[in-house]
Amino acid sequence: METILFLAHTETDGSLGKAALESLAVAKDLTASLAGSVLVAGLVGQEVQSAANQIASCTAKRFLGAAGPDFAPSRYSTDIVAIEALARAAAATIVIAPATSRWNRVLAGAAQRLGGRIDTHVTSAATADNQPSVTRWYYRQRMEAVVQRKRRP
Amino acid sequence: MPTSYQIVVCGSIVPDPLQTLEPVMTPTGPALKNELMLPAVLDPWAGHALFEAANLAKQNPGSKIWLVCVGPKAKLQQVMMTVAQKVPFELIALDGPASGFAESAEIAAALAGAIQAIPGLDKSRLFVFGGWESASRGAGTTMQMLGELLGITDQFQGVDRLAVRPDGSFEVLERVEGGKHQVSACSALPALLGWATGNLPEPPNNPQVGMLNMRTVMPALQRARPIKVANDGMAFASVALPKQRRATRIVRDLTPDAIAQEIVEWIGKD
Repeated sequence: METILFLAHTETDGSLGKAALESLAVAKDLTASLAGSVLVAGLVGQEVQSAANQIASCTAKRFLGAAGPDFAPSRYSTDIVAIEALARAAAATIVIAPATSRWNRVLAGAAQRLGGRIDTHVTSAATADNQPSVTRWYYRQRMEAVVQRKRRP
Repeated sequence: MPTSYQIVVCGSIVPDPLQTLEPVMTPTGPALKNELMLPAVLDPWAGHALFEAANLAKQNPGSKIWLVCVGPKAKLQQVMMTVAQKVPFELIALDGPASGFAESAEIAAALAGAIQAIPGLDKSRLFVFGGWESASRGAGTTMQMLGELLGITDQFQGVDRLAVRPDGSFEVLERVEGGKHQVSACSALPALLGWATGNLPEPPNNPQVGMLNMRTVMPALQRARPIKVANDGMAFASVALPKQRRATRIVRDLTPDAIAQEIVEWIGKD
């Protein structure tokens, strides 16, 4: 049983971008395929209500947000505080997030701070024997691997 | 603000980008076929970081550069023969895998240990440089984890320019979506910068710099601390080259209108 945190930041207009919505679709599918798992949505931005409204029907059990002027700009020192707080509040075992430039800057550091591990350049996620696995690129998109991890988050 | 900096550049060696790579499974996990036979180079992004560091050090006399490398000792020695002729630095070598399949968190921990052991390290003068991702793992995660381990919370990735202002603060140009740059200002060190291409050319070989560097490179290689990467809790179900997908039809005598109609239908599928 996993607690899957969909983690996204808002765009300048307060909405969620295309990459974030694609990540949400992956998070939903993974939650559905892992028995007993729950989906939690975590949003970061100056204002997150409209983004929460945008994905209100996504089957998330909880919606968490880190909002305020400090979280409007894309900046490592504030983004990592928001991500750490959301991941701890959700007690997330798996975090799924879009590979935007803002998140690419901070997610690996957040994984380190949370005592977890990270996979990037992921193209798909699947489940076998109730265990999640991801397909990701190595050697700068020259070979792809299917990876499973025991460590959480 | 300091006028001389301590600049630590992290980088590793990668297979020459022109080589054909083929994955193989070994008892210890995935690897590259004939990995030890493949010609190696300093990772291109790390190379840009090193050249930018040299430029910063040149503009700020009294600055010093350390190049911290993880890789098989013999391969590191080969690569250093070339790299050492480019810019002045002191090498800190760690004898470990340069494989793209090594866990980035474990590499970051090894790098952090080596950097913290540098005598006289002053964080108020410290820049940590590296590539924003490598040509091996290509994940873009090691530098951020290293920054966390060193307690550096001013981090920038995909950096194309660093400009130090007269008051000692600095401005960073980072790549973001849509071919744009984000401009950030930072007033104090330490800071960590994961470089993209930067905007400097590769310096020409300078034999005098090479001779100076080799005085410290060879002893550094001799005392390179071995590190083990266990890939703890990680299992590779498969590693493969991407399959070619081609759906080509050969149709003769198709009218231009029919071709256009087919293109319109294809575009409409998205």
